[in-house]
Amino acid sequence: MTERNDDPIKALWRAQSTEVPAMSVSYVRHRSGELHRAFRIRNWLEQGAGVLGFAGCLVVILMAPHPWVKAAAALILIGGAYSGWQWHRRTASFRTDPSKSSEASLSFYKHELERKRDIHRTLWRWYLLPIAPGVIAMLSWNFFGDPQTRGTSAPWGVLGMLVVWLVVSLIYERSKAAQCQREIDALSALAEPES
Amino acid sequence: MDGLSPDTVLDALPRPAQTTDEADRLFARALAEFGPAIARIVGANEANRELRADLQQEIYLELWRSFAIFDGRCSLGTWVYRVAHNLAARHVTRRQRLSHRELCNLEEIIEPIDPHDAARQLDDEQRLGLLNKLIGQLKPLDRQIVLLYLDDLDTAQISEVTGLSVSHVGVKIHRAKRLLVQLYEGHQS
Repeated sequence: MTERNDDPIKALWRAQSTEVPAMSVSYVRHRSGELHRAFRIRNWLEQGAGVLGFAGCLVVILMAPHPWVKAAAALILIGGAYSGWQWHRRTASFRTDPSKSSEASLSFYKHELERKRDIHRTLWRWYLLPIAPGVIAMLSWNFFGDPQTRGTSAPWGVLGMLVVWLVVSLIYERSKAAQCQREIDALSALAEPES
Repeated sequence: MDGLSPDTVLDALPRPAQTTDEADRLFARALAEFGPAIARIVGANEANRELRADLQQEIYLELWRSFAIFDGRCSLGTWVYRVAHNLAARHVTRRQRLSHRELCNLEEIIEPIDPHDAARQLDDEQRLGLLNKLIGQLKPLDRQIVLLYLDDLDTAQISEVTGLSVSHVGVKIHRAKRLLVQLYEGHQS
């Protein structure tokens, strides 16, 4: 194929009308402060939602007739708090580090992919495992507890649904982690020194 | 000024920004020289008008913060392109996670012009539309290469911004060039 000229399309690209908002340094300083406030508000909202969930567990702890159920709800509450904190910490999407932003694109993108892969790969450990004791305790009550005060009359059904959900989730997370790893490997190959 | 002219790259590099005043001055200079380029990066990575404005502000804020640690080891242009492209890539990755849309590499992309439609003459607006559509299908890194190439950076400069080897950038550009020429001239090879 003969070399053809792509200058016209480059010229067209650069000539397109773009909106470049005038932005003074003082305005950027002001917006930077506002942005931090926005993060704080978002954190408060997330924490508020968490508080509502905990309130539900607290109601069970206070109102449930049997100590077993109270203990199970307390375990879910503690596990949920830990999972929520871990989720917040690991998935915080806009805590930009200027040194990261100025990395070459390849290392930056690989770093982001590695972060995503690690979240998928380890999610079971820090998100699902902490609430497992509480859920197991609650299920145990439904199997072996007082038939008059059990939460459900079909504990096997609930257990079956939980197991299916767990297996599907784990398979999904593993496949997403593998997908990220394939892309990381492909990018690593791109950056290998030329022979 | 658009792109990185060889003069810009070899220019006496700015000294590390140790004072706030110096960071402010670099920020103002970056905006004056690369404002349109940043706007094009934003436009190519986000179609929604409001989200585009948000992304542009994010890039400006990050750029301003980044000058606190700018040590002059690369040119101002390389620094600006890195910050802008990396934030755009993060934005695309985040949006892709929400929309579950699959993106592809330059090698996998579908030809921009339907062969059955080859004879039709496209006007500039339609070409730009097709070009944006093509760019929107690309994974972040390939997207950056095409955008930097369109901004007239050469292979070595693109390699410096992206961190990819020169030979790989060359291969990618060869493919991009074919698509771009085809987009401009139609299937008349």
